[in-house]
Amino acid sequence: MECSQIKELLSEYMDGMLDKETAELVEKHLETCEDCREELASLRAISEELSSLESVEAPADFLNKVNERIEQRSLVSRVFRSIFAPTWPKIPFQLATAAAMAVLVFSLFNVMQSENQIIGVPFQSEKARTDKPPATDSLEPAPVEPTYQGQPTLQKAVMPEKPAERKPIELVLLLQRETPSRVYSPGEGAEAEDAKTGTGALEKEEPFAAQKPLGKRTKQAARKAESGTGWSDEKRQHPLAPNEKFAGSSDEEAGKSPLSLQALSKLHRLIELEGGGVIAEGDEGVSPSQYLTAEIPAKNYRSFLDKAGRLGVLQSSPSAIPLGDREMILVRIRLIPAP
Amino acid sequence: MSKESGKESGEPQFDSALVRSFQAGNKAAFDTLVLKHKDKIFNLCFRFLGDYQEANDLAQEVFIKAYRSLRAFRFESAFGTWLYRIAVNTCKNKVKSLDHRYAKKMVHLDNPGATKAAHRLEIRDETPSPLAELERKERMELIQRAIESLPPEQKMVIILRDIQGLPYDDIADITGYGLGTVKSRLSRARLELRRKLMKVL
Repeated sequence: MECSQIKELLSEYMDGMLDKETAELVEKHLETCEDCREELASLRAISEELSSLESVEAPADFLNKVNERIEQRSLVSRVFRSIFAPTWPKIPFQLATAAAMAVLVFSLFNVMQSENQIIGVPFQSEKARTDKPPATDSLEPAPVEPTYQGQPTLQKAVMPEKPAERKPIELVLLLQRETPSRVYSPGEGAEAEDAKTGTGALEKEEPFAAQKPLGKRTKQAARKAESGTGWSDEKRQHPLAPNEKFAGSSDEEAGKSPLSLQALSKLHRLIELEGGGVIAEGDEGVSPSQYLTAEIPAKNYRSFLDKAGRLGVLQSSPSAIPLGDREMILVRIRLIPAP
Repeated sequence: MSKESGKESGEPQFDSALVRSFQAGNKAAFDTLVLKHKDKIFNLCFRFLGDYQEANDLAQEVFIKAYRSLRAFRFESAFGTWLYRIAVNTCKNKVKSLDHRYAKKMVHLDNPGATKAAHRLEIRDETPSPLAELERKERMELIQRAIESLPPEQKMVIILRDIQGLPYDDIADITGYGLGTVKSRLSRARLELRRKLMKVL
């Protein structure tokens, strides 16, 4: 062992803290090393010097001073506690901060939400009132019009929301000339006519056409319709015509737009087939188009669209897809006869 | 060296009985504990800080802390060891606190060395030979200054071992250091003191 290593062990050796083997190693080294012996002697001298230092005693009044301070402290703490303790529960600082932040964020969020309500809702209700035929079942928020100057009063904000909810889905049905023959010729003879007019797709109409009990009569009617006369007769005779009054009123217009009338009655049946009901119908004055407002069960809405599409070119905005949670879907179908 | 520790270790049962008495509501038991342990705590504080008045304040603080915690004392260690632990922590905190350093510096600037010298003169008033006394005082002064110059951890270990005469195990228990750390710190402290004092002693 080298001297430097031995010197590190001298302090422990001196106190008898080394294990037997190490102590023997140190002793062996000390026998031969003058330098290390001197080192040990000086360390012992230092240690003895320290232990011989006189113990500095506490002053005589030490106990009294201690008791005085204990009395003072307990008095102070008693007063302090009696003043603050009831209203000063120990809440960890972090917890208090977190709580404060939560309150702040929550209140800010609330303020922002109520602002949205005040500004947002009036636009919607205004639009519902001014736009008589609304574009679609507007799921997207109403556009913010820069001209809008109305005060965002709460009165406006709480306007009834029902009209907006009952906004019908707008559909446009552009009728085609071929349509009547396609639908109204399910019988054997109709096939020839189909071939003549060049339209197939009869099979597709099967579920629809199967409901018609009088194949011969419809065939006849189809022929009449093609010639542009006798539609009203057919309409009256049709057992599935849902509305006699309508049939009567359409009588006068038969000459004007027989195709759209025919399509109307088909739509009536289609709506009933799908489990819905017609709410209102009529024409819009000058234009030859007619409209029909109806309710259709949401679950049948897609098949209704499919079948109505066969009557002509059906136009509906993609956003007009019904919401799943509604039971009945309000549709407003505008029929536009082929030119 | 170990005469003090031997004297103390003989009465841990007496200490425990006093603590139990205090816990039972006998306030006078605490006074007995203070009187029994005040000098060794005071000496520790004085050797650590090197200032009589500061040591007095600090030692009082140690006993006040002990008074407040004594009701919760669980007898897991001897009362003397527990009290030392409070003293060591109080000394460490005192060294850490900035105001202690500032106060020290201000004293030195205003009245360099006066406070210490005055206290030391008071302590050893009754010594006979003036010349021998002066020599002894100088010697003590040098040793105390050398101790004070050590890093706090080394200083605490060498005070507990060579001045208070505690065994290694107790020192490890009191300071919270491992036994190996106690050994190495003590070794370094002794070597350092030897280096500083060899020329003058």
